Amino acid sequence: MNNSLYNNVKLEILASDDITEIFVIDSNLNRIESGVGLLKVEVLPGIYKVRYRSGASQYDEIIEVLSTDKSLLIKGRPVLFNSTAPICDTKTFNLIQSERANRASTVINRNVGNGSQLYIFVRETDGNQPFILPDIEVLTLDGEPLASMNDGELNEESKYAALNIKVEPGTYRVRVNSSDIGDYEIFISTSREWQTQVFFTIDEFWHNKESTRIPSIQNATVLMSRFGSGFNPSSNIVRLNELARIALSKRRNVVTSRMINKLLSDKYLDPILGIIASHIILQRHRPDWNLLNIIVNNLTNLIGEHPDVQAIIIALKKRTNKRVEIIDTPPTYRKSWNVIVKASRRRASLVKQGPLITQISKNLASSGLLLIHKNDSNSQIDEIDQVTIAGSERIFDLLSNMDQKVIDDMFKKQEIFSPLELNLLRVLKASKSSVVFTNEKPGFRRRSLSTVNHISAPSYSIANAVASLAEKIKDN
Amino acid sequence: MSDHAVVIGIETYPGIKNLQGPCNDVDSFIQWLEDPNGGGLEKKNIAKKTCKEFPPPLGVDDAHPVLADLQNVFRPLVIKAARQEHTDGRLFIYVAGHGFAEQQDMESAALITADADQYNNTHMAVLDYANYFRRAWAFKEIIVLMDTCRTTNSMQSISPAHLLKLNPHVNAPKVKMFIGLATGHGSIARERDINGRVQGIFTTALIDALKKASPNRKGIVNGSAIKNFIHTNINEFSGSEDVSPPEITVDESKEVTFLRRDDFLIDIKIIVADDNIDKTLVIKFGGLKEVYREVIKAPQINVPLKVGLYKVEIIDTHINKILEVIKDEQFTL
Repeated sequence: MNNSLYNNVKLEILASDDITEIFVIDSNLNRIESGVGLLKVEVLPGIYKVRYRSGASQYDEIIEVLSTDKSLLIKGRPVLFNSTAPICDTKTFNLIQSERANRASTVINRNVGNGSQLYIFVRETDGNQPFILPDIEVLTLDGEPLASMNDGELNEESKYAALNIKVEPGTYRVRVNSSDIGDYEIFISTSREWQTQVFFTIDEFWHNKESTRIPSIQNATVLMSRFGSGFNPSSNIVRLNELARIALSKRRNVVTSRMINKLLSDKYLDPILGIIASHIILQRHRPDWNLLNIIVNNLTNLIGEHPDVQAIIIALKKRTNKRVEIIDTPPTYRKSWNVIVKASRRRASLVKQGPLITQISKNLASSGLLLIHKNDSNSQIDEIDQVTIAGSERIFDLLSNMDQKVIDDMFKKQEIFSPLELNLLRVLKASKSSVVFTNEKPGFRRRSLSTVNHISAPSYSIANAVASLAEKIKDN
Repeated sequence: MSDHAVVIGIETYPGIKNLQGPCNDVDSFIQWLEDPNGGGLEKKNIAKKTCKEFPPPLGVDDAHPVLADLQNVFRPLVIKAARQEHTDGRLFIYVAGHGFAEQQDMESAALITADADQYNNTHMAVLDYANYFRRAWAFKEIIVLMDTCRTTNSMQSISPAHLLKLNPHVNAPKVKMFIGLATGHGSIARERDINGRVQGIFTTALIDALKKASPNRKGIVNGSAIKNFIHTNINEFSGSEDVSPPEITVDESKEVTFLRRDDFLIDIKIIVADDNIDKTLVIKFGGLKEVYREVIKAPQINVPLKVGLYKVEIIDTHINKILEVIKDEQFTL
């Protein structure tokens, strides 16, 4: 309402948390202002719609600003969203599961080390579905089994299972086994005097036109809490963490300086929230490097060395006095992996070569917020050692000169190739279909083959895959 | 004015996963295009291609439309543009089907063709066509609407459309553009059963906006009005689905015209208790501007109102209510 008879009213809208987006919509249903967490705006008296949005969920509230108001404070209630962890004020909240998740997080089911804890909680959110013990294992990075959900607590009636183990601080494989769709793994790091919590919900998956219900690894939530605190379903930090996770996956730019400052001043900061916030900042056009430096320092003080924190240090490049010499353990988050992969293009030795990194690179799941790979115990890790980057580029150049028909024939035998080798084969096929006249240097840097650099695998893994691809083409 | 449209819908994908909404969406959009009170296009100027025009495929090898089919739909307009023939009108490009975006390009979007499978990412770079027509100053206004996913995968990149690299026409910067993408970069566009028919949520919100969005003072429903209306009301159609917001680009200094009309009026029923008969009912737009004042003669009052937020009061009582008018509805005071 543009009416000079009225004075502006100071409108202050406070969302229930610092990550909820706020939009103000006028009587014509046009959006006039937006903000995150807190929005201060001057408006003329009238009727407005206030929209609160968290992740992909939202609700509207209609407010009336009277001409007699000088200022007006509106407090939004929490937006109900789908949450993997059983936290309060969400669409998927379940009181019993929430209480039991809290209680189970303080009970040790198995002791395989000292210094940190790894807690796993799986639940069914569909009340009409039965719940059977999910097949989840915790393994060392070398693949040695440490515990499974059999060692923990199962409640079929309340539809959850929980496992809490004491472990040495480090990085572990958490594997979800499914005879139908295969076994998938994520990497979870624990830190001294912290409990790392991993939450799963059961979801429906389809394979060969048959459905199966298993823990959804791509929607898993990771949290951390200090020893003795356990999982707190009503904690604001836990809620923020879940919302930040969703925001990162939806590419919503919801991290404000205000939120970061508040978190940094909070001695109970969940380090995972710091990692997710860093990735949200990194995906901005102009990241705030100073803020990232502060977060990294804070995270290092809180949890010491952690693969995802190392990834952020790598992203900071020379803007930090910290340096990462080598990455020998995989991170939890896919975005951290992407940072590492990108950096390995400039410094191939950054990523330690070994069977695990090779296996991840070969069988990386195509999407998801977490670094997920398919554990293929039948696939051999090819013994092609010490392939140099330059050597593999030469091999790739030779392969790119292959006849189109040979490449097409190889596609007919695609079962013999790993996903990474198949990706390379696709690049070769694509390079055949486009004519490029270039004086550029040979190798992956050539424009026609630069797609290789987009493959989400460290340079040495690609080099090895090029070599093994060449071997297989030769043998077939 | 001579307006043209290219409308494409693909829902049969033997190599990926079939959809159910795109052909329904195409029907809805064409209905609006042909409506004299809507887009007002002549039938002959609408080039359409959907999978319904082809026999049901047995597999990927005989799935259609493929890229060549889609290129053929654009061909007459592409040739005219190359010959520097300018049309003083609008070009609508509407596509619905599977889609994806390029990981490194936040503005990108492509339509996946029916013969795609996990090894062959066949697709059409739809936005390249829009840019081609813009460069050639082939139309005065270009409106692109894509009801497709924009998920990304590091191994999928958009191949450029096979179009001539025309030098920009001197008038190219004057072309008015509207680009409506169903979802944000990296996100999924959804379809669902709406009133017994599977439809894309974005297209349904778009058609509703075309029907109801308020015109400006010149009676023009422009790009900004459509954008605002979709963003504000898409939740009306999302049901239990969590929908990522559409990504709509308009240039407010060069607004496209979707249609001209008076305000769309919605019939609202207001129910009052019998003891309020003979009292006065007042309706204020935005709570301030009085748009209705009548003595109540019956317990049901029918009032046509344009879309928006209103306050309804019965004078000399404490009865009042705020209404959000976006569809035919009954309100009880």
